[in-house]
Amino acid sequence: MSTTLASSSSSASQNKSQSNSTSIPDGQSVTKRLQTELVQLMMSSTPGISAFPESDSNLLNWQGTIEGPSNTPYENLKFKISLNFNSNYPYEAPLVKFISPMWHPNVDMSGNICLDILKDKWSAVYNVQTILLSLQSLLGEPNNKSPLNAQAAQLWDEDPTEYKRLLMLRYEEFE
Amino acid sequence: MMTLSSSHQRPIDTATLLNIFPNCSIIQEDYVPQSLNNDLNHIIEFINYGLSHEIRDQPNNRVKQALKSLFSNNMGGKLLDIYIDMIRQKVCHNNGGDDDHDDHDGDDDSSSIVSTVRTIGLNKDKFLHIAKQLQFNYIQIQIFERSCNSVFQTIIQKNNYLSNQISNLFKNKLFSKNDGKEDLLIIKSTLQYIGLKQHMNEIIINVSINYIYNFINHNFGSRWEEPSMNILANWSSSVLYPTLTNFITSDEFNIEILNQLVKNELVKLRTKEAFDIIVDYPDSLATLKELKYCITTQKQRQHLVNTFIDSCNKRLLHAGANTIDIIKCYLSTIKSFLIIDPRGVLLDKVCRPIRSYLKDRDDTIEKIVHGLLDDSEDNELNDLAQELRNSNDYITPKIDDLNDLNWTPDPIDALPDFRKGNDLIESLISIFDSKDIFISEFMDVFCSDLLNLTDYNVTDALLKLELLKLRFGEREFNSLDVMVKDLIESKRIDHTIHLELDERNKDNGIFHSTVLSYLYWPNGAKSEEEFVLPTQLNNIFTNYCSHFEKLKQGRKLKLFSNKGNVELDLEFDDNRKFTFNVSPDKASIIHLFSSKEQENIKELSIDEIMNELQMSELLAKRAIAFWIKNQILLETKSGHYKILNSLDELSEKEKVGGTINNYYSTEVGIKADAEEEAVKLKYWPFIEGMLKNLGNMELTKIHSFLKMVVPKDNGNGYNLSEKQLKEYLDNEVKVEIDGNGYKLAKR
Repeated sequence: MSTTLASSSSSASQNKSQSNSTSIPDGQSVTKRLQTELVQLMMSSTPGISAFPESDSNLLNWQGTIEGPSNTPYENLKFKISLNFNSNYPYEAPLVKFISPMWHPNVDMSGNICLDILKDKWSAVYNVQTILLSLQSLLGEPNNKSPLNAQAAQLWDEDPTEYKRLLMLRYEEFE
Repeated sequence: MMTLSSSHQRPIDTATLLNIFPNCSIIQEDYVPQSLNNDLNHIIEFINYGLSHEIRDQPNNRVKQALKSLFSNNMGGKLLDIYIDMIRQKVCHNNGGDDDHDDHDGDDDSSSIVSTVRTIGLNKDKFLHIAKQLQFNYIQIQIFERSCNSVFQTIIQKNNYLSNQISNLFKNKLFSKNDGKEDLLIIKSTLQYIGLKQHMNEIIINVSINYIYNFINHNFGSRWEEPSMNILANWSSSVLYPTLTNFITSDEFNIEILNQLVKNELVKLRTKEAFDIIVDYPDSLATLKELKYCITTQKQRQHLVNTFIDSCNKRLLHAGANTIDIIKCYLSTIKSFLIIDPRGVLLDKVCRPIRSYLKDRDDTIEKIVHGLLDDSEDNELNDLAQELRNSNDYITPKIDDLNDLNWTPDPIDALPDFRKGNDLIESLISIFDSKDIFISEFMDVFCSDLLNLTDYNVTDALLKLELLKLRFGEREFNSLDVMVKDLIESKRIDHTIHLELDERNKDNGIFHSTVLSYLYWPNGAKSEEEFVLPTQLNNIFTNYCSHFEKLKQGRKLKLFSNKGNVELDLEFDDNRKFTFNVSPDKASIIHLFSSKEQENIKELSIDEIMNELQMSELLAKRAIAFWIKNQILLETKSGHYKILNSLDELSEKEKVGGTINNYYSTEVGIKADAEEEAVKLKYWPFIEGMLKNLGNMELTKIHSFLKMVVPKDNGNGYNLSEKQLKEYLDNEVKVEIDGNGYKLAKR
């Protein structure tokens, strides 16, 4: 599985960019698309990633789980994320955040993520599964050139032990 | 003097009136002078005598004189009326008497009818003769003849018995080789004589049509291999036409009309047989071609369509019919109706019910896909495979192109949403609105085909893939491309690894792998049931894996222990030798028995087996049942098994078939279990997904989530009740009860 999608955009803006939407698909098609994606995701049962809608009445808000890739500081750790789709999905990227406390060069203290495909490189061919896979690979291959967490970016290369210690300080296990 | 006057009009005198209406007999009895009355009586007497005697006397002088004076007094019309009345009375009276004895005269039908008819003819002769003696003028004679005819016509047409007898007589004798045609000629000419020419022709035509139909039915019914029209045309010109020309006297009757009648009857028969003819395609090709030019009218077409649809509903489109048969019949229908009607209008009409029926059948797609891809001899839908192979000349249907100079409008009698389907595959695919279901079925078939390959040879798969792309469009097949590419890649990887592997350990040489790109393969490629391979095999795999990881940095192999093929050579104490090609679970069980035997443990219980191999009970039982059936394992007591080292160990009863029965009963139970398992397996990913991401959840919430998210396609969406779901969750080891709800069990 090739995962080379992790490289942050130059502007480290944390606000969701409000691009002018050109076409507004009706709510029906968003729900339908998300439903299909859910089935696809459930059926393929890719190891290490998973996501599910928060409630059966609203498919626009999902929760996901990402397991840290092996041979990285994140090995054997699990993180929760939230995905909020708006009615323009898939023409607009969903808002993705870490809910679990996170220590990572491209994630800030409130869980915001800097990942190009969630910002200006977003394309309608991406889906929940690719987002989750990209995030998973981002854990192992951070983009240290434009960090949100400068300390993490610095320690990543210089002091892996300290990096792991700080990570474990922040990490919270959940059920 | 005139009574025919109204108070408002000027009276008209008799002379004026008679000038205007010379034949009118309005003059009242009272005003006939005495002498004329006498004359009239004489004449009536003369007529009565003539009617009741055969002798045809000349009128005597007194009568002649009386006639003269009557006519000079313009009483001719009156006399005509009286004469007609007399005849009417006489004929009706006679005939009323005849009715009784007609019924019990059955033996000599034909001669009695002939004599009846002949009498009618003779009577008319006589009446006419008398009328001439009465010196009526030409017009009066004509009037008389007309009235006379109508009297006889009433007798024949009102008398059902008589007219039936006449038709029967014609039916029996018209085309018989025996004599008796003279009778028919007499009847025919008499009826013609009394003005029933039209009626006569009708009888003869009806009889002929009947005869033609029976002839065709007898000679050509259910025989569709050869054209029949040549023989029929010959027959009609050499047999029918000469016979009929003697009887039908009409300017309009000629050989073409007769041939048309023959064609119509042929069409009638073929319409009735339509369903069988089409099932019989291509043997019935000749008949179909013939039908094409015999069917000429819209009514015949409509009738053919309706009859065919009726027979389809009765004989094909019901639960008792095999899906393959329905598809086959659908294909024949397409081919056949395009022969009958190349424009495709009839085809469009007849195939609608079949299409909508096929759409509702669960296994239609499966059968079509297998039919398309399986090019072996025993493929019942071999036509489809052939058709796919001939795809080279397939032209993608164009959307209406405004610049197309060859464009033609839809035929005038086509239905509004007419579609001309002359491509077999296209018309099967178009039964379903979406191609997606086909694509996923294709993926399943390719998946099992590719996984069953042992030599990495994908030439055939590639060819099929290219052909499918021609039909379905390039972009639908991304996953299939990846799948085939995986195989090619696997071959290369496997080759490289085997070059590097230590060939001294010959065990390494027996393991080959197919490396799948996990996300692109359908679920069929992922085995649901995993177990632990025997150590020996596991070592080989680990070795293989380490080489793979060196070759492909950053990638890992995960083994699907239950996918694959194992070739097993088994040897027994009594010199039995077998070679089996089985799935890894079955092989592992045998391996387990054989290695335990070396430790001197002869008997294993089902629990031990499940424990050793970490195998589910279902899988283990299925594999054991397979070995028992092949007389490799033996069940010593319930749930305990050992290797059957020599056939002598089988008791007589078991040899006869005890084991087989045992096997079948287990098999049935296992199947039922397996189905239930399969259903639950469908829900599991969703339950796992929600519990993993949303944590502890209550039963009702899980239930309503499942109702929403489990796909409803193929008619098997989520259909458990809340109670059933509870039962399932309570029994599922991967789920724990946590307070009011459920959560995933910790592994």
